[in-house]
Amino acid sequence: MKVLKFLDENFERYVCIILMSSMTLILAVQVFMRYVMRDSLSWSEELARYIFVWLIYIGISYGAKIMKHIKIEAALLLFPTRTRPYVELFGDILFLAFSLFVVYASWDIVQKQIMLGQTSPAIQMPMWMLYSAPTVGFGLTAIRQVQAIVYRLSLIRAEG
Amino acid sequence: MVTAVLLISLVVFLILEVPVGIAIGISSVAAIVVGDTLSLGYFPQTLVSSTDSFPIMAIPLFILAGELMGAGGVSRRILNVANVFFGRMAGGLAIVTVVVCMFFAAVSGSGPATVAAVGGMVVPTMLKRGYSKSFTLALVATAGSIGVIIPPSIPMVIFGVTTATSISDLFLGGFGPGMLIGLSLIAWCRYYSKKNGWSGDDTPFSWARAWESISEAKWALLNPLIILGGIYAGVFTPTEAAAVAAVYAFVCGVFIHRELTFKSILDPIGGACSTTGTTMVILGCASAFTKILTIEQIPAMITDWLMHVTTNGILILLLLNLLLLIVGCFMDTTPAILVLAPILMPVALSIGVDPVHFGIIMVVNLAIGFITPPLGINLFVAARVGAAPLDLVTRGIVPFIIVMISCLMLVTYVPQISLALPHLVGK
Repeated sequence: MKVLKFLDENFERYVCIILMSSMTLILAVQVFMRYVMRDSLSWSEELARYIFVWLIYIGISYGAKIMKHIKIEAALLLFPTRTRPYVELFGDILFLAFSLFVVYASWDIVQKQIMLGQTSPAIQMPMWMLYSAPTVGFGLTAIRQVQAIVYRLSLIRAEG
Repeated sequence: MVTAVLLISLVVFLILEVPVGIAIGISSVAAIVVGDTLSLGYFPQTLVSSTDSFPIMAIPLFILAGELMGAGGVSRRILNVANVFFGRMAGGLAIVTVVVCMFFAAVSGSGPATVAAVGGMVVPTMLKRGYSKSFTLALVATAGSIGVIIPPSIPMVIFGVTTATSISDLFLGGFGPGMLIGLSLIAWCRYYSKKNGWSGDDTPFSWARAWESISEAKWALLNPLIILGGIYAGVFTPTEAAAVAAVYAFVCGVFIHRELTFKSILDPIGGACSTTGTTMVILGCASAFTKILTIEQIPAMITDWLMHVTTNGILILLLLNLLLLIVGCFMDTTPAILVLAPILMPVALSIGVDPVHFGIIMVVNLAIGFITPPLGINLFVAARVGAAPLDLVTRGIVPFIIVMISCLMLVTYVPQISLALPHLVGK
């Protein structure tokens, strides 16, 4: 239970921090090797790019967890005060639906990539590992959106 | 029909408080379903193909560099240097604020980050010296918007990638306008502070004091030199420069200034990660959106229509500015560039505007959007920094918006302000 609570609080945050740090370091090493050691690395750019893609999709889930996604908040003023919580709830439900759609649609691509067995040019990484970033990221986001919806419902109930 | 679905559903979803990136995604998927040129599998494919990009990787890295600089005591050191030189003048602290923001802009590529980093330090001091709260907060919000105009700049990276314009040239193009806006703000601060009797401090200038503050800040002062020098000497690409800047800020904060510990460093990195996730989702989802617009030939239609209304270049530029200013009031820079740059670029090219110049015009417009209500993000950040109600900031912002718009007009109609430097270096 304790482990689950820890993961709930920190999972995306720590994964993102690790991805962000390694991406930065890889590029710094790339510059160092090329400029100081006169020896260009062949794998660094590709690896950093793939880490970046994963960082984005795990980062989307992190953004959902801390509810920091960019919205046009001013539009909320168009609605009467009492309906605003329901508008926000509806927005979160649409976000959840979209996340589930991406999981479904990108899973298709991942399966195709596994079948094709393509690998990346420099580091020979199977391409499905790159294409599964949106699947995993939006899968986590879907969980976070369910949490957000439960949270909003509890707010509405507390006020109603 | 497809276009109608795409655009109307986008507006509806945005009003329903769906996050901007997700709203763009849903309306793109809806348009794919209605039209029959693209398959549904195209969408998840673009989620990967549009983000698997080396130039775009500069964005999270510049965000990280800015966060680490802000947390690592760099801003305070720069502030001390600026204070030694400008603190004595009338409106001294206001001028110091603008100068520090300009410096910070040369490392960070983001407006709100600049407001948060600089505002947290100068606002309490300015209030203590008797500056009015609405002037102080409005100034911080405005000066922060220089963050995206002086290179490096995140919106310029996005513009460069979306329209296949050279990011290095765009960066160079930002210098002139950034200086122009900075100097105009300083002039306004001096005039307004004199009128209100906000004097500088009484410490006389001494070279000893100047030297002391500079030597304490020397490592921080070197950072923009490394970034920009490195890019233009051809040592590294903008993306690599951003990584080097982040590592440099880390080393400064942990080993030289010793203000960051391995534990406290998790917060700025985590902050950079959440900003990355929440802005890059827009980029990932917008690529399909742009593709649909192009298939439906919307950019060409808009160019045709505008050319029908007028072929007068000056008038068209004015219309473009007006449109961008209005959009900037409601939309954040990243989605605005992703959606509008491909639509408006052909218009600008058809009246002979240089792509770099147009990029700068767009970025300056959207920088003004940072400080225009109702959705001026810098206003929110400034209000939070000063623990003040939003309308207090909004009341002070009007003269600053006028200064910014005057600069925008100069930048629009005097292309040399933006293009002189890229042309000089290009030769």
